[in-house]
Amino acid sequence: MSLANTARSLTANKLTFIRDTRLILDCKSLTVQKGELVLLTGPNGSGKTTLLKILAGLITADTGEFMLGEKSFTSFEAPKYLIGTCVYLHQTPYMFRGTVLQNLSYGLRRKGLRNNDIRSLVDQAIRKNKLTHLTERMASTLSAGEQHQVALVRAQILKPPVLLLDEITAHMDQEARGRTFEIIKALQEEEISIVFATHDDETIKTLPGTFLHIDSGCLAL
Amino acid sequence: MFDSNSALISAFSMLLTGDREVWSAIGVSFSVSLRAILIASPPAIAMAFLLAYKTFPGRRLVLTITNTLMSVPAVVVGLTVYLALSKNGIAADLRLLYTQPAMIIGQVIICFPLLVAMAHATFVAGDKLAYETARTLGAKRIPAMLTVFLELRFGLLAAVIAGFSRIIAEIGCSMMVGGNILDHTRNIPTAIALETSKGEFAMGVALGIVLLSLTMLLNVLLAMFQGDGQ
Repeated sequence: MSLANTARSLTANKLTFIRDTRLILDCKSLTVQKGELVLLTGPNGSGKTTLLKILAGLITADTGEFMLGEKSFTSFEAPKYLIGTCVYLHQTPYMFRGTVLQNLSYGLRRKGLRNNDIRSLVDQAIRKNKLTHLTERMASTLSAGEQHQVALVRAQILKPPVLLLDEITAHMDQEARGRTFEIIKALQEEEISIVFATHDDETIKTLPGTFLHIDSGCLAL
Repeated sequence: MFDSNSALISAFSMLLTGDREVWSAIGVSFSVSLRAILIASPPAIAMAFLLAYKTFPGRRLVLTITNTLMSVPAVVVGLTVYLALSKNGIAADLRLLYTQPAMIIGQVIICFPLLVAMAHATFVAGDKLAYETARTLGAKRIPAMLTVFLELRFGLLAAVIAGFSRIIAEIGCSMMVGGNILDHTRNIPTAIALETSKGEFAMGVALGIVLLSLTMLLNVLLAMFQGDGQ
C-alpha cells in the first residue's frame, strides 16, 4: 500500500531557455544528490522560478540533458520523466476547491490508488504533520501560512524523489515558518532531495544545505 | 382587435390543457437545442482552454475570428447552412434540409463562437496555477485539463447557459433550414412568428410565456449553483 521509496539524485546539464530572443537561463550544470537540500539564492528576475519549473517539467528548456537516478533524457523528453516525479511548489500555492482532505488526496488519486490506501496515507501524513485541526476545513479559508503547509504535505504524501520549493517562506510569520522548517527537515530524513529558492535570511541561516547562486540566468556555486 | 387579457387567458389554457401544437413546438425546441448545446459544448470548451493555456502561431487570429463570428446573425448562418444542404450545395447528398439535424447543425454553428469566447474569458480570468499544480502533482494532460474545468465550473456553466439561451430563442436559422414543419421542425420561435402572422396571438403568447419561464428557470438554477460554490 505504501508508496515505493523513490529517492534519487537529479542532474541537469547545459540547460538553456530563450524567450523572445532573450536568454533567460544558461545553466552549465546542476546536481542535487539524494536527500540533499540545495538553497537557491539570487535577485528577483534572475531565473530561479524558470529553473525550478524546468526541473519540474512544467517548462521545456530549449536545450539540456537530464539524469534522474540512472535514467538520462533530453530536455524535450523531460516533461515525460519529470512531471509528477519532481514536484514544484508555487510561491503562492494553489488550493483546489474542496476540503484540505480532498486537496491532500489529489496526487494520490492521480496515481490510481484505492480509496482505502489513499485515506490511510493521508491520515498518516495528517497525524505526522499535526494538521488534524484543518482536515475538514475548506482549503480556500486557510491562511497563507496554512496553505503553504498543506501544499507541502500534499507534495510530501507523494514521496517524490525531488521537491522544488519556490520561495515558500516569503510571506510566512515566525510560527508558520518554524512549522515549515520542521516539515522540510522531516523530508530530508526521508531522503527527498530539495531545491529551495529563497531570499529569506532566516531560511538560509536555519536550514543546513548547499548554496547555489543564480544571477541573470547563470548559476554559480 | 387584439385583446391582451383574453390572449393571456387562452395562452394559459393552451398550456394547461396540453394543446398539441403548443407542446409539439416546445418538444422540438428542447430536443433540437439540447442536442445542439451538448454537441457544441465539449469541443468549444476544449478549444477555449487551448486558446487560453497554449501559445501557438495564429492564436490571436483564431480569437479574432471567434469574436467576429459571435456577431453573425442567425439568419446568415441559416442561409449558409441552407446553401450547403440545398439541391446544388456541397452537402446536398446528406438530404438533411428541413429536418431536425439541419436545425441542430445551424444551432451548433450559432452557439459555438459564443461558447468559445465565454469559456475563454473564464479560463483567462481563472488562476493558471490550477493547471500547473495538477500537472506537478502527477495529473496527465487531459486529467489536469478536466481539473481546471472542475475548478472553473461556475463560469463554464454560465457560458453553456448563455449558449443555450441564444439558440433556443433564435428564429432565422431554424426557419430557413427547418422549414417550420408542424411536429417536425416547428419550434417555439418559428411557431410564434407563424401564429402571430396569422393573428393567433394566444398561441404566440403561450409560447412566449414558455420561453420567458425557461430563461428565468435557467438563471435561477445558475444563481443557486453559483451560490453553492461561494
